[in-house]
Amino acid sequence: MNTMAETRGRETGDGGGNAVLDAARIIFTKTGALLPLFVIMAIYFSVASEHFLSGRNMSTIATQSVYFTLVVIAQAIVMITGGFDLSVGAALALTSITTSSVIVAVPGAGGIVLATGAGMLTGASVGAANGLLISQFRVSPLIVTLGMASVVSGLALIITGGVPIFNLPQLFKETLYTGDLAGVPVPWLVVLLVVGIAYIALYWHRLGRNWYAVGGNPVSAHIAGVPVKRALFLAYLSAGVLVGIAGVMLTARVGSGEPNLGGTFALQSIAAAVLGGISLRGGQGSLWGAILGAIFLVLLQNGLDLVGVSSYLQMIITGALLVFAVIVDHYWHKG
Amino acid sequence: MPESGRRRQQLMDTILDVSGVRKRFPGVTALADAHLMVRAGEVHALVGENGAGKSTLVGVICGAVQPDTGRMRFLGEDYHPRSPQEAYQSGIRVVFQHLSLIPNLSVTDNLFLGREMAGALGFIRRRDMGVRARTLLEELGFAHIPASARVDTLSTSQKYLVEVAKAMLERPKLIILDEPTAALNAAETSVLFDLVASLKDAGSGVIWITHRLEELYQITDQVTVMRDGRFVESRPTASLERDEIIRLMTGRQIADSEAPDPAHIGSENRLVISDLHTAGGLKGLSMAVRAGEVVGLGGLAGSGVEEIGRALYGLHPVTRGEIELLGRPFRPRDLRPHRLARQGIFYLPGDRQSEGIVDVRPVSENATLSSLDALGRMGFLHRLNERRTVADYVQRLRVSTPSAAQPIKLLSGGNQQKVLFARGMLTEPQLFILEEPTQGVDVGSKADIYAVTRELAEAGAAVIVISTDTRELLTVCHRIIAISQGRMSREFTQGEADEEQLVSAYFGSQDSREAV
Ligand SMILES: Nc1ncnc2c1ncn2[C@@H]1O[C@H](COP(=O)(O)OP(=O)(O)OP(=O)(O)O)[C@@H](O)[C@H]1O
Ligand SMILES: [Mg+2]
Repeated sequence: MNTMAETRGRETGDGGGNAVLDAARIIFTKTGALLPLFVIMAIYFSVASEHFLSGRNMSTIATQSVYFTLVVIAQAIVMITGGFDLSVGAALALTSITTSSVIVAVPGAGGIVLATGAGMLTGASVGAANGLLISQFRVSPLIVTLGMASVVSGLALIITGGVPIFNLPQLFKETLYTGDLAGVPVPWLVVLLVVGIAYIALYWHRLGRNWYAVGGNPVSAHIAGVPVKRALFLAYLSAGVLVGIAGVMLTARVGSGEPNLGGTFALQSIAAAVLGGISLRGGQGSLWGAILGAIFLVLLQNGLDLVGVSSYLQMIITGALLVFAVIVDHYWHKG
Repeated sequence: MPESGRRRQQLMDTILDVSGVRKRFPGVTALADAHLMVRAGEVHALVGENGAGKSTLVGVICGAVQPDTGRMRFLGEDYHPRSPQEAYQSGIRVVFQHLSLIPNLSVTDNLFLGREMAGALGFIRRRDMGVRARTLLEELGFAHIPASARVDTLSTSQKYLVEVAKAMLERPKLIILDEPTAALNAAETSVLFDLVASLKDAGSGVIWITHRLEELYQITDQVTVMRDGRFVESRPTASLERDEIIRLMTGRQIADSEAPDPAHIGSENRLVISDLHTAGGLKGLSMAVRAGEVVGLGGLAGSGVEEIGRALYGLHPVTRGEIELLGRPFRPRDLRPHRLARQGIFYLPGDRQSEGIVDVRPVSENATLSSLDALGRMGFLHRLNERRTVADYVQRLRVSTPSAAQPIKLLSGGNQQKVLFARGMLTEPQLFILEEPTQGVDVGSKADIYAVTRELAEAGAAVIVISTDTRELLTVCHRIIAISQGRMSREFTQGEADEEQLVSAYFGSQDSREAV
């Protein structure tokens, strides 16, 4: 460790005070502009509304966060590879439709299992289609996923004729929404499991390394022997599966198959990821940042609801936040 | 230098005076106490080990880096540029280590980027710009670069010369060249020497940063040595011996690299190519490399030598010929990096910045990117193991970095190169294809890399070194193949050739003077 120690020695020789600044910088680069925003927001809402910090509200927030977090993790994975996915909302809707169709057709517990499988398969198919087009034909992710969003939404509307699928069995809701295992709500368990797997894939497996490398510099990655096409395909496929899971869970919660589910998810998930420090230029940002970003947006919406801000104004706020986050991202990752 | 010349130089006034500059980055003190004094009409060498702070000092002079403390005077006035634009307006030009051209624009467009010639109503005068670009390239001796070509169709060295031309749009008062010859071959280097000589005659100051110490005696008047971000010494070049410069730079003795021992060359062929043709330069190259053998490839720009590595690694189209790698025949379409890497072939690209490093990722991830399979089972990574291995290589190759978690883009150029070399070693390949393996690497580390290359060969690997540095080829190779017009023009075994003979073989003739 000869040379490392030398450099460090040089630095400490120049006096202290630097360590705190360095630590602050690391926190900022890891989570973007999120931490200060978090603090400001938490203080503001807890003063403005007495309900905000109540245990009940916190538990609501936790449950609400589940679905959104799943989608943000999906978004973060493809963003790390240097792309993004505008079709997550549409995929969510189509998943909801296939899930409910299967569950209506096949009664009983077997139906729930089948429906869950069908929902995940739907998400996976959309992701695979995205991945195939982006990796094999080198079409830009913007065009592919924007087109895909339109195709998939259209499919959902054709299947249902625009009418939601009602009368889902109560058992579905009781298992995947209100159900619990040893006191822990099922939605929480699902998200914990997903976070665990995503963590391992991103940081303890070759796959994640390849994703980061491809996002950082696809040419260098290719030359270093990274199977770039496969990595890209797997990123979109994984994102699709995660969206599928979110779609099934969300259907259980709303209790019907909704062709219009997830309308604003694409934009919001990108906003959350960028706020959490996932760079739009790829190769940078962490899973934890993305999760924090997701929780932040859910908290914000919850707080704004509590203090009575209209949903129209909330749209403006989310949009403005996205632009703000992108600007911050630009300055922080400029190097 | 004649007596009158020396006196003239003493009379010339200082144009740039930098003193006591300090700059700290998180975790690193890049400059602790830097001084530099450059006179008009002087070629001033700035030397030091990788990470000594040379490029950072350049950044400070050209307004790209804001120093923490320090004073600068330029042309007799206080000078503290807050942006590169300000430095540009003062008449300072920099040609950076990293290329800054826009690949999908033409040479002309790049030359005039941001300073387009505009007529009435702001319309750009394309024709005038084209003419000006052509004359400029001709004047500078770069006539072989077509002004209308897109930059991404040029070779690395041509791109660099365009970068130089860009700085020469008007005569600079001070021009800084950061490792200009790292990617240039002998002929291009001599063109650049001529250019520098003419700038000097015109009274411009030139700062010349290099790790090729022989260049100091060829064109520089004064040498400033830096070490660990500090000024060490500044003296007329003629008064300093090569060994002394090295000692001032490194504080240690660097032994001459040993010649490779041919006793370890095996009988088995690791690479056999016959009648290789590529889209572009190669027109029927045949050669073979055996296990344990280090083979050098050299040639002029455009001779096809720069396509050999790329063609073998599937990055440049092969149009005809047979290729056998590690004893197996390969069809051109089977030459794909992912596949070749898995079979035990490592390719080190000549363009470090855009094809080598993943700039935003840490040193450690850059080092292990090609050997992730070996780091654990079924793709799962043994990260503790990884950390130990990387630390080991960081030490062995003397990579100067605050930690292995540092994003590689924050390392100095030479240190980035060492990390890429470590990436290759970590894959334990049977065949190395190295393009400019020591570009930007300091003398001490060069010796380290040569020693490691010899060890690799002795352990049974076949090594191909493709280099514009003739000394490098003469130092590390068992055999050197000179390429001219797409084929082998001559082959030299260890100790058979000197630099002059080698260059003359590049020209495809027996007498270099005649050809130059
Ligand atoms: N933006 C930055 N952030 C952090 N560290 C930096 C930054 N820029 C440079 N450094 C560090 O400062 C030191 C000096 O770097 P510099 O690029 O000036 O070296 P150099 O003398 O040009 O080396 P080389 O010969 O390899 O080009 C190095 O240790 C480098 O890692
Ligand atoms: Mg440098």
